[in-house]
Amino acid sequence: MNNKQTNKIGSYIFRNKHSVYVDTLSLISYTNYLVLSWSIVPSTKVLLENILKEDFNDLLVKVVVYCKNDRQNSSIDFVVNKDADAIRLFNLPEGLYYCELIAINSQNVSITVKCSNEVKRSLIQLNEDSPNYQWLEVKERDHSWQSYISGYTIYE
Amino acid sequence: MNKQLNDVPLFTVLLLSTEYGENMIGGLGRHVTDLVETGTNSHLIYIVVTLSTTDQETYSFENGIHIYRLLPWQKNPSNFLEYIKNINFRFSQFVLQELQYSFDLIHVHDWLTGIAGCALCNHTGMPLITTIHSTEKERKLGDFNLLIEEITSYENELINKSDQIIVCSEYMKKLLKSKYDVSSEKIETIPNGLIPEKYTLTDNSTPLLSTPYLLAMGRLVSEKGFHLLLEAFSLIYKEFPEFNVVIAGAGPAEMLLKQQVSVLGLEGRVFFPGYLHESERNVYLKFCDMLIIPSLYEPFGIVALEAMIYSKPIVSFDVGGLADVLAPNRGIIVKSTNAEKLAEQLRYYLNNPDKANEIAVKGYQTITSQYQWNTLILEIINVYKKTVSSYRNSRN
Repeated sequence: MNNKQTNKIGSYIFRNKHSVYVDTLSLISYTNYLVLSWSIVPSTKVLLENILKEDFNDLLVKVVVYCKNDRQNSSIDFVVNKDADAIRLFNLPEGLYYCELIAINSQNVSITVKCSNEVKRSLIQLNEDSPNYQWLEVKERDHSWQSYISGYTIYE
Repeated sequence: MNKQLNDVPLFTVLLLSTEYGENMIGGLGRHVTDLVETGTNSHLIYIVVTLSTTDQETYSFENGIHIYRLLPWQKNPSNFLEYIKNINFRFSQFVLQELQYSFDLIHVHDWLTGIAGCALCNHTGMPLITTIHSTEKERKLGDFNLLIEEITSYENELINKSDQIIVCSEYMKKLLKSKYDVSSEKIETIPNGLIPEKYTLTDNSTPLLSTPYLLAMGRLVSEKGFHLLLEAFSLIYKEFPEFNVVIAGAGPAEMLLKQQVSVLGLEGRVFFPGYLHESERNVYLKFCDMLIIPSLYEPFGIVALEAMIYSKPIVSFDVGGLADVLAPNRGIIVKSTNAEKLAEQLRYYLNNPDKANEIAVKGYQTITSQYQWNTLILEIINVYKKTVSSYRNSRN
């Protein structure tokens, strides 16, 4: 909260509230793997169609898993065809994990529907039957222009 | 009994804005903040959904106003438009899934939150009122690219979807009628205003600059025309060795403007104090000799009102709604948009301060009679009443 605010009689952080009407994305840590589960509620599908201007069934939906450790900030992504499901992740390096549920249209415009909680993991035990993921380095973009947006927009 | 009746809220308004309160970037933010503050004092309930300036989403209840400061889930947007779409998605998702208050109408400001306004109007069926502060094609001074086209298509969608449009100047009304095909009945012109109490200074306030100065304020972007002010000043600065120029604001053109100062040999005569918070802004305004608004596009120009309340002469080009605010003889209007003509007018009025002050007095009188939020809010309430009444009648 910004310290400048005055006369507050109620103030709280309200993310992470749960309800059956709310989109969900969670990351749960088990001994040998992480479980990733998500759901997109019907109103969100319509919102995505309104904003991305394509039918929900034509959108690409994927979950991007981020891992941050001393060496790098990296990610892997999984295309998910269902609006609610769960997957297990094995063979993960040590680090701090979180993930994003993203919808992308044919013009490559993406909307992030939800971010998960963060999970800290030490090395997850090798499972030879599971794939080794191809982690990609996450490149931070310059966001300095965000501080200038206004009704009188700038983006040059 | 009467008092109790008067205290019954008129309407609950869901207001969406990218700028509010401490997150004020341009005139839109000032307009929205003052509107909500005055409206709350006039028995409206506002639920403000706006952007958080921290890394957390929060709710607070401040002076009777519900304020939800949200963040897009997307942490690494690839471009401006994607960022705006993600903000609009989050605003809409929040209202549909997490907001625990009902509301009577949706009020959005410009296309930046118009995507959410349209989506929420579709989902909830509630009436939508939009204040159009400016339009993208005009902001970009006739430039054309795909981004401008896409933003314009969002503006058109918002204008069509809205039950009622509010604009701040007759210039904007004419523009929407002629270029955006909006009927007169759908547009109300309600100007920007000020809350005079926000412009009071303590008697012992002292100038932040020890010399006389010409002041210009605004985001440092090309459409604000600060480069023309620098060019004009370079033509007269030797004739007025005691005068300096202050250009207050922040923005991407800052480096270019500083380079221009150097190229024109104006080092030591032009100052860039950065973005001014309310108290600093008031001090700079109170002690300036003139306010220059060299904008190439200005659908209203709240900054003109801010100088008027301090009885300062204002010089601007003949552009947009600003020319309406300053005419007749409430400000000094430079008919041709170029540095030479601006320099001529500056030279004349710096040499004739009495004439400049006569105009400033008229400007001050205008503020007190036409541009105060405590009277303008009644016009806004009338638009709310008309729109909600029409909506309710259509459902009966």
